[in-house]
Amino acid sequence: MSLFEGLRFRPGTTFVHRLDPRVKLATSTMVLITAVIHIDIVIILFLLMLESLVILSAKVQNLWIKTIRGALPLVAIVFAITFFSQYSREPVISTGLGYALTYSLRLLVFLSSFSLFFLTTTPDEIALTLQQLRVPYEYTFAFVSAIRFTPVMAEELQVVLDAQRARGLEVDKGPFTKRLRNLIPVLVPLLVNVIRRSYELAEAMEVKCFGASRKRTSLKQLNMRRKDIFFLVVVLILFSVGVSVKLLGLEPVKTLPLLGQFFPD
Amino acid sequence: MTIIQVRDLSFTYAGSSKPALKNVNISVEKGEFVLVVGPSGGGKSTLLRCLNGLIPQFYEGEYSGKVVVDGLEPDKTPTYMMSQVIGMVFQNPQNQLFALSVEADIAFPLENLGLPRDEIIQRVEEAMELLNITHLRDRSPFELSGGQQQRVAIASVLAIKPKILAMDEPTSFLDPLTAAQLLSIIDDVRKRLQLTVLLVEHRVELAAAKADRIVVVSDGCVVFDGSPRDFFEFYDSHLYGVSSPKVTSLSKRLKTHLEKWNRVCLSAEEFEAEVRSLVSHL
Repeated sequence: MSLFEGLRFRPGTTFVHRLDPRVKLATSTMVLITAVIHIDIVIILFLLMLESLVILSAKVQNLWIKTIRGALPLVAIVFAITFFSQYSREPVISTGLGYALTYSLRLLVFLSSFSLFFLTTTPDEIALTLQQLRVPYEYTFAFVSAIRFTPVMAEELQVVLDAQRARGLEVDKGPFTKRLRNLIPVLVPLLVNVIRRSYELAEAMEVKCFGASRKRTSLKQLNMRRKDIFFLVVVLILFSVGVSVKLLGLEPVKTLPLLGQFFPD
Repeated sequence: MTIIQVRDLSFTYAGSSKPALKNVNISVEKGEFVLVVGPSGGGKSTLLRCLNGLIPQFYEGEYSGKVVVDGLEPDKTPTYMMSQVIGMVFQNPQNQLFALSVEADIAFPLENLGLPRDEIIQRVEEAMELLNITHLRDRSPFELSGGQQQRVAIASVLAIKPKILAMDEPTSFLDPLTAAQLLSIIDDVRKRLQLTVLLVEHRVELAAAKADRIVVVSDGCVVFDGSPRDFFEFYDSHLYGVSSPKVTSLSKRLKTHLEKWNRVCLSAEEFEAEVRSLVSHL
C-alpha cells in the first residue's frame, strides 16, 4: 500500500522524531511566518537550509523529496508567473529571474515547513497535540478515524474492483467517459458498504461510552523535556533574529550592494 | 441472584412490519454462561441489543415489555451507563477498534468515561494481561490477525469492568482453529472474573460443552431454554435450525446400540472420557 507510506504509525528513533510534537508544530509555524514576512533570497535560502538539516537529521529525506517532486509543477507555475509579472514591470532579465527564484524557493520553504512536522510525527501524537490545543475531541476523533480507516477502505475498494472485474466490468479500457461511467458499479457497492460500516462503528462507539464525560482524560500525555525546551529556545532565538532583521530593515538584499543590483527596491 | 430479567419483551424495527422479538421471557443468574443459538435472522442479535439499551435508544422501533439488567432498565438508562454493567462485543473486529495502537484502543472507553490517568494505565495493563496481548501493545489494528483483533476488542470492553459480557457471534470472522482458541480464552476469562456471559454463536460444537445453559431463539421467540445436554439429548436440534456437535450425534447413536454407553457427549473430551471408561470396564 504505497499510498500510505507517508503515514507513520510507530514513532521513529531520531532526535527530531522524539521531540515534543508541540515544539515541532511551533517550529514549523515560526519557519512559515519567517518565510511569509521575508522575500529575501538569502533568508529564504537560509531557511531552506535549516529545514533540510532538520529533515536530514530525522532521516526522512526520501519522503520529503517525494513531496517536493509532487509540488514541482506548482513551483514551475509560480516561477513563470513571477518572472513575467516582474519582467513586464521592469524589463531586466536578471531581476526577473532573481525574484522568480526567490518566490519559487519560498514556496518550497512553505511546503517543507509542515512536512517537517507531519513526516516526523505519528498520527497519535498529532491527535494528542490537537487535544492539547483544546480542539474539541470530536474533531480529533474524526482525524484519527480517517487515518485508521483509510487502509481499510482501500482494501475494500480493491475487493469491490476485483468482484466487478470478475463479473466482466472493464475499468481500464475504452475512452475516458466510458471508463468514468464504468466506475459507477464500483462506487455504489463501496458507498453501501461505507454506510453499513458507519452504522456498526456508531454502535461500537455507543458501547464504548463515546461522549460519556465532558472531561475526557487521556492515557498518553505529552511531556516537555529538557531537550525540547533547549530546541525551542534555539528556534525562538533564530525566529526573533529573523523578525528583527525585517523590522530594522537589515535584509541582506538591502545591505549588500552586489545583491542590490539584482533586487532593486 | 438474578442479574438479567426480561419480561414480555417485544420489539419491531422501525420500517418493518414483522416483529423481531415476540413476548420474550428470560432470566439469567449471576455467573451463568448462556449460549444463545438459532437460525440467522431469528432475533438473537436483537435480544442482545435490548439488554444494553442499543434497542430502543440507537435503533428505533416499537418496544414493549420490561427489561432489568443489574437493577437498571436499559430502555431508560444512557448506553454509556449500561456499558459499565454489560459489555458488548460485535461480529466484525475491524469495526470495533478506533485507535491506532492496541493500548490506545483498550484505553478508549476509559478515556471517554473520564477516569483518572493512573487508573486507566492500571486497567489497560490488566486487560492486556487477561487476554494475553501485552506483546501487541504498540501494534496498529491492521497489523493484527482477526483473532488478535477480536481479543483486543474483548479486552477493551472488559477494561470497563462490566459484570456481564454479551457477545454477538465473535468468531464469525475467524478460522476454525482461531475460533476454538478464542472461545477457550473467553471461557477462561469468565471463570477468572466470575462474569456472566451471553454468547450468540453458530459454532455450537465449540461452545456447547462450556455453556451452563442454552437458549434457542427462532422467529422472534424463545423456543428452548434449558441445559445444553437436555437440548441435544432429547430434542432434534436440526428442527430448531441449530446444528449439533458431531460427537453428540455419534454418542447418541452409540447409546442406542451399546447398553453400557452412559451419556450423550457435548465435546470431544467428554467423548474420549466415555470411551476410556467403557474400555476399562471391559
